Amino acid sequence: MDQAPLLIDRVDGRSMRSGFLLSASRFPDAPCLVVKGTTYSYADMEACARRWAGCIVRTLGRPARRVGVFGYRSQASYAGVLAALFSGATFVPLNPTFPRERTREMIRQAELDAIIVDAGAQPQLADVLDPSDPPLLVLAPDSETPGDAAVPAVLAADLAAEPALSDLPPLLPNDIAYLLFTSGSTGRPKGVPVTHANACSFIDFAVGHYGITAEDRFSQTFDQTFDLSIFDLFVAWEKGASVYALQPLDLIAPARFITRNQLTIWFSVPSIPALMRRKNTLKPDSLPSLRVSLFCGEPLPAETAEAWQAAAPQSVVENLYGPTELTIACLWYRWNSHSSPATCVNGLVPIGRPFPGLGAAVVDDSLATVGAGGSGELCVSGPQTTPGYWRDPAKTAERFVDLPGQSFPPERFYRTGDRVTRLPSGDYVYLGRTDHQIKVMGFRVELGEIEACLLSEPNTVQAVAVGWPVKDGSAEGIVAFVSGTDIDLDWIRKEAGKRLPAYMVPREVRLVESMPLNVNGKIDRLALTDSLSG
Amino acid sequence: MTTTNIDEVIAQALKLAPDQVRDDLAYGSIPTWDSLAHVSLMLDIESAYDVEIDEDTMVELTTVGAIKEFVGGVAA
Repeated sequence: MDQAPLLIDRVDGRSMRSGFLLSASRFPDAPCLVVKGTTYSYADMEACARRWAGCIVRTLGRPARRVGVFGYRSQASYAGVLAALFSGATFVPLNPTFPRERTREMIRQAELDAIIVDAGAQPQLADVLDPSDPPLLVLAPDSETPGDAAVPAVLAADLAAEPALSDLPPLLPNDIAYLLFTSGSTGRPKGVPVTHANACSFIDFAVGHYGITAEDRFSQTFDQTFDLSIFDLFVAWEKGASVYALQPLDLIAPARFITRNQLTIWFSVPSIPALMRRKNTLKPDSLPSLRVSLFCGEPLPAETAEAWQAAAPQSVVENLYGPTELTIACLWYRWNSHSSPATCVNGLVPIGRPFPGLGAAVVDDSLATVGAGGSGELCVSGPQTTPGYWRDPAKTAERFVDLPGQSFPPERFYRTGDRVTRLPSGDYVYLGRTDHQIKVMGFRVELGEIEACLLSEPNTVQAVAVGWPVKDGSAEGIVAFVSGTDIDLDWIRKEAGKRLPAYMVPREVRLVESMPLNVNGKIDRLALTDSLSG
Repeated sequence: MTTTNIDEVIAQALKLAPDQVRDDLAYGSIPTWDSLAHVSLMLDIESAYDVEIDEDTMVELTTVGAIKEFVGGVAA
């Protein structure tokens, strides 16, 4: 006899959308989002998201599984995230400035039910949708006429007429809230699914730790494909605060943006204040409205932390640390102008202590604990540890591990690939990577992905990519070395431009007769990097 | 400084050949003109022309044409 299909009575629980919905019911007229000078209230955003979600659920005839949001710092790209969650789906952020091949690969891997596209991303839409795939439901809330939309789509007027979805499909804490793609060593972007429970654990820490209220005004500096943007949006929306989206021009004049909008919470990569210091726009007492200033995504130089503290004397200044696999951030360090300079190593601010409820261990290559004062790989466990890589059990087993010597039940740790040491104070200090991942302007880059692209040129025998120049532990760009006979360097440059995001495209590709080798017979990357200093 | 020289300053900061410096080139329109390159370019202009460029002006100087007009004003 055939077994009856499993039927689960799903009862809605706490999820990433819960806080927004509560804020929208408490503060419907409060500013939720400010984009390019236009303010959208909580009621505006909720109404949009419910209508778009209604369209998705009605068209599919069921809750959605995964919905792509293809846009850039627009009302549609932010409301699209809410609409995806309201439709019961995982949201998958996609960036129209990324190369077509990369976005296509993400869409292919994610198996989307629908995609919400903003006006700026319209021209790229036809390029990133593979005509051989089944047609996708496309919502184009910024498009007025069929001519505006590159592919058949539900347009603005139809969406505006759509009834709001009143009964949202239930979400359980272990459902996947969002799926992000990071650089992968095989040349394919690597999917990291993050659950509602993971995200809510982070949100709860942040809301409590920073005492967020409805009066707060948040910066939104991070690209939506970067998980740090979750802080900007969902920590703010959890308590009814407002979010101010910086446009590309604002990123070159951040002090002006902070002052004009009287922001209270700032969160960015340290490269932004580093740029302000270079241009001498980070002046003492110039940012008095800020009460919380956070930096994450790349190492934070002590000089930058101190300069920001002087500019924003009323603000706490914290260095946050965390890979996507551990949900946004998982360690924190609060800067103190008097005591912190003595704790810095190599001029960099410590990454601090794990959030309450998380565990951290420092291990060697065999996963054995490193003694006090030693350095090793940082592993982190707890409620922010994500389930593993998207449809990649082998890679998951490699990076998500039970460390030996634990009692029952064992904690599952994520191996960060970051080399750290623990100071006597309990604070951790970042020393570098254990593998070939680097940070380029805050973006995590797997050098193997660039090398895989270079090796696709048929005559290329060996390829090595290095970060160059490196300042304060973060690279400003990539330089590549290739060896082989009759290599078509022009083809390589064009191919890299087509397949890789701009920050991963080598600024220079150098042809070498042969790769230098170290004593173990492996390519001597250090010698290649040193050759650039000459 | 002559117009040719400002072309060179821009070309160097944006990693372009001087003949690629066109008046309609804009911030964000090419991968090498990002926020880092923009700040470097502003610093190069400040030192070449002995002027200070504040944030309000920085966000105006986002095309080659606008930069040339600005430089023409301060060099006059």
